[in-house]
Amino acid sequence: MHLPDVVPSRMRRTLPRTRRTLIGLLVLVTLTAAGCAQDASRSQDNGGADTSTNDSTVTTDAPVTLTLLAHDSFTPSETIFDAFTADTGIVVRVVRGGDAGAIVTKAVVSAGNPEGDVLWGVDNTLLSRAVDANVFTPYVTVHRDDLDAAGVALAPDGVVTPVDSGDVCINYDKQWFAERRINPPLTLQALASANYRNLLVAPSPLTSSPGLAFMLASIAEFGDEWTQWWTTLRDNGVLIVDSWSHAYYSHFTAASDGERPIVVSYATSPPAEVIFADPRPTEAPTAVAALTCFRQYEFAGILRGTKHEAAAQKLIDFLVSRQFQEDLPLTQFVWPSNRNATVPQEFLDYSLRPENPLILDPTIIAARRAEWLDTFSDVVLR
Amino acid sequence: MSNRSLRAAIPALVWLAIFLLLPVVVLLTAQVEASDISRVLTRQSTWRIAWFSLWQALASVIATFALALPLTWFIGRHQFRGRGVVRAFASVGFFLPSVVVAAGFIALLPTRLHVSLAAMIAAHAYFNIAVVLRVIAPRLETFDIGLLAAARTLGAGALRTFTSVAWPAMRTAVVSAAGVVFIYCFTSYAVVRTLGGVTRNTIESDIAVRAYAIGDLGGAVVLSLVQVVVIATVVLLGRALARDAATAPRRTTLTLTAAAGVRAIVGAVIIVATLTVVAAPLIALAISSLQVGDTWSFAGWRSLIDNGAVAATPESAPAAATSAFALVDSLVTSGRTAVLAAIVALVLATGLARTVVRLGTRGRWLDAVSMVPLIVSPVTLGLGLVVTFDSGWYDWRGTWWFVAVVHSVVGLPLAVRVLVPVWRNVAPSLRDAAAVLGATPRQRFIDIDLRLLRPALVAAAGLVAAVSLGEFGAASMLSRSGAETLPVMIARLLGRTGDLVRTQAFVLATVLVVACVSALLLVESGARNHSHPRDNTHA
Amino acid sequence: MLDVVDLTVRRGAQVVVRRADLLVKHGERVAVHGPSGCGKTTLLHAIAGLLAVDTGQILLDGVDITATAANRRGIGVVFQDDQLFPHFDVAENVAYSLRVQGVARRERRRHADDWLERVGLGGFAQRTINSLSGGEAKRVALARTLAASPRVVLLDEPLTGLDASLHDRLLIDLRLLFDQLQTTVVLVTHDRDEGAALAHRATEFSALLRE
Repeated sequence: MHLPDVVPSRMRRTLPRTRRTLIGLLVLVTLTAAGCAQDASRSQDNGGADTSTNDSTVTTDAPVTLTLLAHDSFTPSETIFDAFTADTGIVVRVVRGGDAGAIVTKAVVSAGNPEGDVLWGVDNTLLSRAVDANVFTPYVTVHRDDLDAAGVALAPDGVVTPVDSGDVCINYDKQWFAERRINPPLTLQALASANYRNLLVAPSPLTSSPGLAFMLASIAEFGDEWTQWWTTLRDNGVLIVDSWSHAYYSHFTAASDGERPIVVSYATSPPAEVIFADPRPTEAPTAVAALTCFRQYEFAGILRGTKHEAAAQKLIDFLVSRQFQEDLPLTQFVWPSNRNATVPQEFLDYSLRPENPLILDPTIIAARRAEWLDTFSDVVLR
Repeated sequence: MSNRSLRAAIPALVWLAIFLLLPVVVLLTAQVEASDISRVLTRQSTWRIAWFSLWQALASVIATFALALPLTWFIGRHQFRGRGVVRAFASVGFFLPSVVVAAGFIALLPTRLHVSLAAMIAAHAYFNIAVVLRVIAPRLETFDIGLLAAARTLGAGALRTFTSVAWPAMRTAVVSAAGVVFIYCFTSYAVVRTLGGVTRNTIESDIAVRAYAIGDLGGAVVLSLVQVVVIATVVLLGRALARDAATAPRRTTLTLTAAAGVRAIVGAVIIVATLTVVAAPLIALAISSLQVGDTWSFAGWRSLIDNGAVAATPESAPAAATSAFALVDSLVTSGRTAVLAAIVALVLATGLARTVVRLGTRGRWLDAVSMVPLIVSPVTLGLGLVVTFDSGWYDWRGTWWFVAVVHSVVGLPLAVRVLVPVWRNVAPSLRDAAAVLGATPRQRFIDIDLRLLRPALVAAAGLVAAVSLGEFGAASMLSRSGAETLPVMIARLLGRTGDLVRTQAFVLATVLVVACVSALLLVESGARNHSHPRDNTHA
Repeated sequence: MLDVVDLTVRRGAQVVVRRADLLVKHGERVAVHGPSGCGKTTLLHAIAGLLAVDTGQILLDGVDITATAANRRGIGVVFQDDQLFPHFDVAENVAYSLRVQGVARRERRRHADDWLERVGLGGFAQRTINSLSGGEAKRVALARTLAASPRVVLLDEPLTGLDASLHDRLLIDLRLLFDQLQTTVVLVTHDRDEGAALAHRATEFSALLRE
């Protein structure tokens, strides 16, 4: 009777086997984790000494492929990098990683071990967060003297390079105000007036970049009084929605069936209303209140930890060259940073470029942005 | 037996450990300090937001079942012409990126309903029709209606028949579907943000705000842990309800009845009503694609076709949208990723589901583990992946296949959800029958299990592909190279000024809808064509 | 020759078959009677290799097969509820044993037609399983088992649940078929008349047990 124990013996084997399997699994995971930790610490070491890191990588003849990290709104003409590749032999691979907040957050957590070589699209509302986290390797571009001086001043020592700018302003529906013979609001102060009760729609600063700019505009304008102004605005019936597109295309009278003739939008919205219409109207249906504008600068920078620093510097030079900069207005509706770049006539015809936009120091923004946003939530989004 | 079956689950477990557990742990250790935990837990808004996430999710589950159950019942119990087509159409909402569905709802609803609790919950229900349909219908298909008749003839009343026969047999599938829908609605983000409005926050949308807008990573990660705990608690409660489901009556045979007479009329009403609801926002999108501002125009479609050459010439409409070429490119990119993700997830899920089924009640922990990818915050996982796979040979960020790998992780729970209830229904006695006819264990697995699971496997592959195409959750948090994907393109165009640009966004959304419906129909017909023509047990 | 020696089988903690002996000679047909739930089916499943045995031995033609996997025992089973494969047509059910041996489809089909003819179901090859009546399904199950050329066939309540006329016709057909093939058969049934009509000898289940 040697047979009867078939089943019991099989069952007896089960436990050790299972345990062995689990242990193997754990070992595997631990090894992988250890490998990661090791690499992370190693890269941090590298990061600490980044002045001495590889500058000599492009000495070989092998073609270099650079990864340009950008937000989802980065949409240059499809063939724009061909000339750069022809000149330098450097291939540019564009990688998109979400909105500006997302790419900056990812750059911060991976500082020193970046996802790419060059980052496009950190703006002045996010800049200090990235700079404080030591995300970038400085580089002063050869085109520096041609660039918008105010933009350059925001990023001293070339930690990043200003690539474009735009203004977030109050836009209004010209026809709506003309028909009712009401004057449109020309200042932020005016918006708090009862004349404009229930007329303004704005995106939330918590979820929208122009919404954030608009909140910062109020802080730049009113200083510590900004919360009082928002309280008045709230009592005056301001509508806060999640995104710019929702504000503009669901509630703004000039662009939807909505009921609100005042909206927070871009200074470049009126030309877009003309250029992207079919057929094109002779004049824009909307206008911008110049005194309400907050200027956003976008920057590009070399990510610390890149293995192709010399090539990355060439790419920065290209991004602020006339050739690339002239592509920007009509593909991304922003003003070029390079003052020598020619801006298309139609863009000039319908756009407003405010002379003295509102602005805040990026370091102050970085220091207080979380606190401001929490305050905004408490005061306005109750 | 159990060592064998555990082995089948190992690839999936390793996969989850590497691509889910590890990134979260790495991020946790790198970003969270003790003070973050107390800060988040003592903040009043944390609990207000958690409570809102919870009750809106429960309300959404009820709404989803109300919308989806009639059609699920009819499709699950009846054979009729065009069954696959109806199923494909009814599922399309799930396959679309939230940005497209939200745009459709906004195009459809009157302005005053744009931002409302009702719109938000309706959108949740809309999205999740497919989950209810695809998880419950395959179970209904193999449900023995004779059991009901038997119970009735034994004198059981309608209610008693339901509670003693129908419900025990359906319980696993129903709880399973409800759990998945609950988790999706609880962690909902884009829909809450767009249709819920700025004053309504789920934990997930708060995580995104903390991580991206405020830059409070520690707080965001702690919140994602709170989310895991809350969801796990609710799901475990739900599973307690489904406890003895493994002893439910088993029946493998398809027991569909022909839809005729009164049933055909009832079915037609259900189908028309459900499909109208499904189609309305999509038709609204298509109509919007034919309007520029207030006027009817083909300009949006025209610009798609001849936009390729005009990029740099300011005289004509600039290439704000995309050329048809770039469109095909992005469809190919998305399609390739979806196919790879579906294959990987299907292989892993089959092994995992097999183990869960084999272990019976002892496999419940494994069943729970398979759900984990759904409850980990996509924002947290996305950031974790960025810091984990960051250098040397495992710096995989930005490659197309890494995106597919992450899609397979996020899609795995759905695949397991679909497979397990159906697999539980495959009678072991059929395997015995094959065994005594000489079939080896492998042959039994292929000839019996896999063959009977085919509709479920097709459904599972479809759901994973949907997760991938729609860029669900963590999928949308990854950086990607090459062609923009359609959802990203649509979101970008919707974020710009200009009537024509907006119209182009609707054109692309319409293209995406058509692509999704075609893909679904293809899958449905593929499921039919692969079966031996004489195997048709539906007749 | 099938020789079951001192066989004990448990289901979980419960002993269902306790120390059973059974000897069936080549070509012999033995009926085992007993009330339902007495362990007849468990005994059959243990002989077929579908249940592991606790103690005891099963010998087939002198070879100990107690530890042999079910698919390599060469023992056929006609299950009480047929267990036809719902996703295959009738022909593919009947020829399944050839399918697992890698026999080509055309050859399988020829074989299936042959066996269907013998069980009185000529022309049923392409029918679906769902379309079969109870009697037809039982004949298909029988054909499927016999097509595998088993050395022993185990029948579990083969005629239960069929109405009277079908019952009698199938009984006659079975008997003719088994006589013709000289099949070794173990038949369990609660119906003594059935046992008497089909088997060479009948025994009570309880009589197989040592205690």
